[in-house]
Amino acid sequence: MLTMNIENKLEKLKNILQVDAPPFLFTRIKESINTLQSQPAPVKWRLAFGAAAMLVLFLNVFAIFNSDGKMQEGNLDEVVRVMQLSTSNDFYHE
Amino acid sequence: MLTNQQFEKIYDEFKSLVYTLALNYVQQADDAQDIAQEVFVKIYRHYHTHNPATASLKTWIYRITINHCLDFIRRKKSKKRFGVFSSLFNAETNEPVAVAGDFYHPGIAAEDKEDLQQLFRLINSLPVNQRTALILTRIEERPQTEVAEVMNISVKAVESLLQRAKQSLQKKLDETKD
Repeated sequence: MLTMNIENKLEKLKNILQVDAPPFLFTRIKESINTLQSQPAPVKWRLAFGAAAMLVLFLNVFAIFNSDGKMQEGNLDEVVRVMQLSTSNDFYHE
Repeated sequence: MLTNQQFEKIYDEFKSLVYTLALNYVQQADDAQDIAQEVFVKIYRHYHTHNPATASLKTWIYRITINHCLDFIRRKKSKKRFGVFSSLFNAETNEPVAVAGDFYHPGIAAEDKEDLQQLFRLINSLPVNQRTALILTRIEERPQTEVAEVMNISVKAVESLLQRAKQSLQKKLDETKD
């Protein structure tokens, strides 16, 4: 009896009819598509690109402010020493 | 990319299917229209991703519609959860804030509304897979083989989901009567 109860109720679902979509729905869909097509890029992409550009800029500024002339010279001396480069124009060591 | 003509043809063929399926999930005409709009925009934008070898166009559209319905329901539940922080009473009149009618299914006759509203309340509380299997078989009246294809499971799995759905519904029905 109890089992029939839910089955009886589920039978009522057969009375639900398929319904036509409202006539203005297609117009709404086309408007939505046109709006999406007129946008250059999704908002998320634009925000992500902006954030990445800011990060690169920040890193470059950070690197510039943290470097000085002495360090560059020190680096050059180190390169000369390691590569055993000549700092004079003589071909042969006299 | 679909041409306008192709898209119109798809729309004409599947508009009732999509709209009615959305209604059967959310039982509210305005919400079903929003879902149907999202579904067809997705069909337009992602038609090139549909592989006819893996699923028919109808199955693909069924899947998109079901996914959008379930997403919509999840978002709505989430909004209601945060709504607990807003007052339930009108600040000026001190009367309870009126809640908009949640049940409006144009495919349901007036004489069946009360019974089906109660039934849908029970169906809506089922786990997602059981709910989908039940809606597709008992309301959409799709054969179990087609339901299995849409849900990407075996026919036996569909039968099992339906069995469990009926048991859950019976249990909930008994609890409401007690």
